[in-house]
Amino acid sequence: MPTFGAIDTAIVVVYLALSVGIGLLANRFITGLSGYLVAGRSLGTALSIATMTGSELGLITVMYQAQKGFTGGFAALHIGLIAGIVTLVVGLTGFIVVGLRRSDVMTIPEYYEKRFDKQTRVLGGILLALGGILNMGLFLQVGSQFVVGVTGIDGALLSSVMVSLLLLVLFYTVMGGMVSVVLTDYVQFVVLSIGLIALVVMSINTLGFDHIVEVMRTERGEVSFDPTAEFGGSYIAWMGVMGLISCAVWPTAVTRALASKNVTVVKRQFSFSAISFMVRFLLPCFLGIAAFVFIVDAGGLILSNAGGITGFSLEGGEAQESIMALPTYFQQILPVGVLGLLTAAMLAAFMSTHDSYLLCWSSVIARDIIAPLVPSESSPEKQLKWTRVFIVLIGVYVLFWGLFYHPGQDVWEYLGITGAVYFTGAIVVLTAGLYWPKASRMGARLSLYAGLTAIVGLTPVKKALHLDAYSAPQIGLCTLAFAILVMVVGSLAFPDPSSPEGEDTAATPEAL
Amino acid sequence: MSFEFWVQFWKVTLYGGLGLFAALSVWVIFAGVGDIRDMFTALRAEQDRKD
Repeated sequence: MPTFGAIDTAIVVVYLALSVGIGLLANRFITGLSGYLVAGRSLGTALSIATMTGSELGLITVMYQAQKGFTGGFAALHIGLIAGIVTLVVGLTGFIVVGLRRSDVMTIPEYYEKRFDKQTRVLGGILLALGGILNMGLFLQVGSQFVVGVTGIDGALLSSVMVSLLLLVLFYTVMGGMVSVVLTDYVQFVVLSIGLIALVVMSINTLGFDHIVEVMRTERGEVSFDPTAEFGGSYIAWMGVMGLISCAVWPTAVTRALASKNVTVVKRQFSFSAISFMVRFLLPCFLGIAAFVFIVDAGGLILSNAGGITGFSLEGGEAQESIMALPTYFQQILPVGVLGLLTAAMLAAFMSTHDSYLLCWSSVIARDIIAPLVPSESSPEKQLKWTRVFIVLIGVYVLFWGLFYHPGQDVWEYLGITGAVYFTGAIVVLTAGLYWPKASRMGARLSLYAGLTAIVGLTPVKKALHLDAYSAPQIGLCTLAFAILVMVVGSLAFPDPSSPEGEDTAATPEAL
Repeated sequence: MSFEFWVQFWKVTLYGGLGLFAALSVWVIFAGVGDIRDMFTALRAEQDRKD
């Protein structure tokens, strides 16, 4: 069995040193808030795609999609397919993203103020930060599980490694803001795309596509190929919503649209990124299926209960959770050197997501919560300072949340529900704000509050409320319907007073 | 839908996705270098303007 050797360690160290160097280089080019938050709006199409893929194809994505493939079989590939189709539609039509880019804002809550008012901006900022920060709470935990699985290091050393990685990301993000995020994302795109493609090709060559199909058919039955039978209609519908959210509403993706040179670049960026948004789910999911087949071929046991597959154990080994299938598979099949490259690629994925998320949520807190509420802290220099402070504070939170919270559900479901706290309200407010002239402040605020009810989908909350019979996708869809309802009713019952002459109407549907 | 349909469907989806991503990656890797150069030029110009 290959082990993580000196060559692998050297590859990883060189890669990490390169990331620090980029942070230092980028810091020399930061002259103001626009440079720090949106890289001076100077990104071309190729770089936009690289940075969007780098951010959205994180280690957590690779891990939870592999878990989905391991537990759901081929049917789980529908998640990637739907995400790709929805992103392509957004790219071709410019739905939401073009309107936001035209409004010339740097963050989504800033648009709320342009279209509605300051209170809506602050409320939107608070919910966005809450949902987003909760959402990234498991990143470090899942990342650490990958490192344990691949390297085989013991738990005591693990926490030190993860703290070091976190400090590294904090360092270059605080130093260089969006410029260093973009540069590291580019390097990470190169490493990650080559690594991911090579792994899938190698898995197909080693195991054989027909053999993979046959093992899945024997072990899981033909149902594991049909998404309507394996997952059901509400799950597939929820994946459609998630696909739209991921590309057009999720702030880390939308920030790329806001950092693009112009509307043409935005549309091209999203159209091409449809491929990335598809494969970021498709390829890891397939690797999870390959891990399943490998474990069965190796004489291991697939563990399950009434709720489905829960884990596995290799011959003579301990029982492990399903999320550990992918790192275990890599550790078993990859030779020395390649294992190091793969680990560097996965750490690249880990870091590229962390840096974007840290920058995004902290800039929202500084720009959309602190600045509007405390006018003395609203100058660009103060916003820059608060952004850097919150990057560090959120980093500390991620460390402690990862250590103490155990989701008790699929990581993908946890991410969907925590994200829904923000996005079920936001998608309604953005869509109505951009395309429905009658959308009012009251409707927008009610809609944002309605999104909060998505938190009911978290397993501990569901149990406390005795709502175990309902799945996370069902609760998410209900929350979305509720947010739409209150937007319509709130806007019609409490319309905005007519705008006084001369008031900024740049973000209204008519102006866009 | 029959089992054979789904097998072919996922095979085409997987191989198609893999091929498209490989082509996109090659283009992004090469064109991205030019974009990085442009980004630095724009940021440097912004820096000079502020100085």
